[in-house]
Amino acid sequence: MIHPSIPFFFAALALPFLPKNLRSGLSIFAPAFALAIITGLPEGSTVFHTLPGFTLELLRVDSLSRIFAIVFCLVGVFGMLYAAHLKDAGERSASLALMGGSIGVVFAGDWLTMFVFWELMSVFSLFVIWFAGTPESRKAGMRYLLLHVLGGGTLFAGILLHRAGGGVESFTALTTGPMTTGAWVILAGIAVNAAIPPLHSWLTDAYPECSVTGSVVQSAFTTKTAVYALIRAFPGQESLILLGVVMALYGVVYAVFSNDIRRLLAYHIVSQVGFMVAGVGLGSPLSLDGATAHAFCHILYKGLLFMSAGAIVTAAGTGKLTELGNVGRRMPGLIIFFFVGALSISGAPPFNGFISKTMTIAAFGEAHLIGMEMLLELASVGTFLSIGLKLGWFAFFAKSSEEAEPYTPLPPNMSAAMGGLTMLCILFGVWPDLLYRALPQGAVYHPYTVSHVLGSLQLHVGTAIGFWVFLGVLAVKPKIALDVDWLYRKPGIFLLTGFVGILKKIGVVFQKDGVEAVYAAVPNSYDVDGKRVPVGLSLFWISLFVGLLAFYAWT
Amino acid sequence: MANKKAPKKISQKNGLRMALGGLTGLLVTMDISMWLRSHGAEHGHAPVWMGYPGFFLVVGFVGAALLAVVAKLILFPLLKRDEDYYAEKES
Repeated sequence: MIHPSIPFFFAALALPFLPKNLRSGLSIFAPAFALAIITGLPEGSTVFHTLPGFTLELLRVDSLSRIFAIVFCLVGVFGMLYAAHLKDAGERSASLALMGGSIGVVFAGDWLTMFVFWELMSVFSLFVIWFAGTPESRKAGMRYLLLHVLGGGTLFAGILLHRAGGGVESFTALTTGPMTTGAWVILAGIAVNAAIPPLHSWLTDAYPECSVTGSVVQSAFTTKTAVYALIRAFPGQESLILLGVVMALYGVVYAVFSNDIRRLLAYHIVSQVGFMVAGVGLGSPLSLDGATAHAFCHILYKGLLFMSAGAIVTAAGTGKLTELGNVGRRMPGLIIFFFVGALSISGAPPFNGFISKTMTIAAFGEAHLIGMEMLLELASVGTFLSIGLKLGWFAFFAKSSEEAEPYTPLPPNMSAAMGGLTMLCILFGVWPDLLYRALPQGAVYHPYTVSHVLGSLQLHVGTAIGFWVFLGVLAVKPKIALDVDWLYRKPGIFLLTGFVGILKKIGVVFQKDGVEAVYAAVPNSYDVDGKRVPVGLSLFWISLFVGLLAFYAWT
Repeated sequence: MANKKAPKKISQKNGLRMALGGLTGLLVTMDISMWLRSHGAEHGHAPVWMGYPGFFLVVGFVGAALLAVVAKLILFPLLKRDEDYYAEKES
């Protein structure tokens, strides 16, 4: 039995040593091979590793982990195809290891295994950011690292508290009884990766700074692995309902005034994950299946949208809406790819967002939480307003103010990858049962009723009329908007430099009035070097000691 | 002669206006016919007002207006900064 993450880690290690013309092949083959393994895995736990005191459950397969792993592999194949024109191995090695980490998390059967893969994922997504190679990406990567160290540490502390409080070792629901302190701390750790505001700023800060190929891979894994962990561990945790709805609206509001197209899309990850988090919080079979299905569809259309945005950035050399325009006339093929993605994310029939997003919304209607349902509809309106209409209009159709420079032609593999994901978005949209029959809770939902279809179409047309009326208000400005990251980028940095400065000053005082004063007070002029043991002699004693210890341990 | 009788070219703006208007009319007509047919019948879980014809059209328009006003006219002026806001002092 091969663990499905092994092909990823193997490929990640092998890629730098391969000749350049074989790298693309292997990087696409690895997720495809893992997909083949996953489809053949039997249900239940099969791979264990025994450590003194406890057993790691490395491979536990059920329908929930299988569906997440399948979509991770699918987007892995197309993400690597999108990056196939690259010559360097570094970014793709990191991407493959990131995918391997996510696959490890979804198949982990106990908390410790989950945590190890979780951290692997964080580390390698950091390298994906850094491989963009720009000063901005380096700085954004450092901020990403800080938040994820905090999140990972919180998660681990939560796991330890949970175990110390007598909680079960296996990675299962923590909401069956009353929530313990450990469970709350675990939830906080997962919330960092799920980008729940105010812990979301690493995402919208770092993803737009990735390379175009890196941001495609990034968009799929970290947040959706966190959604998986929430579905697994916190179904029906009611605080998540409000957090999710706030997330869905928060992302939309920021997307309305984003100028950078990839930052706009990053805010929509926050917004869309909000739908899933709210669904997890409600905890009914329909809403949990809705969250799972939405994560599945979201990975596909969000990958497609990031690919289209990356294609614009590659061709035009900029991702700022104020500098773009007329992309539609100059890259007509991209119109299809982008608008399939845009209509999918806003949930228009017959694309895949329609069959998954409406599940969560319908679940809120079924639970008589009409206020939450309407707020999620409002988030849908904002999604279409900011992606389909704002991004679509200002990038593709508005007259560009600047003199047009010739566009760089796209590598054919990029178009192929976008075509592939477009097909998948349409396939799951017109054949929802393909997805529904794989859902873990087995909830029954029919998306293509007259009222659903008419309602969704009306919502879109109404939003379009609103966009038309408020076009002047919604016009993009070459500005950035402050977000939570301001706290640690402005006052935080001042506090830190101030604190370090104070420490340095204290150090100087101690050196002058302390150490040097003591030396001066010692009679017979204290010789510093005379009291030091030579390095070689120290090494000799240390190695003797270690040797004795080793001998003692061995006998 | 033929040139004079050729139909006027439709501008992009008018074309979009006609398409939007046509779609709105079509959807509202369909919705009204559905509403008339199912009037009085069980609506499942949804409250009655959610089934009124054109309800989601209004939600879309009002939502877009609300977001445009709240986000762009109220929040954005408070939160906007120049693009090099972070670049200046961090380096």
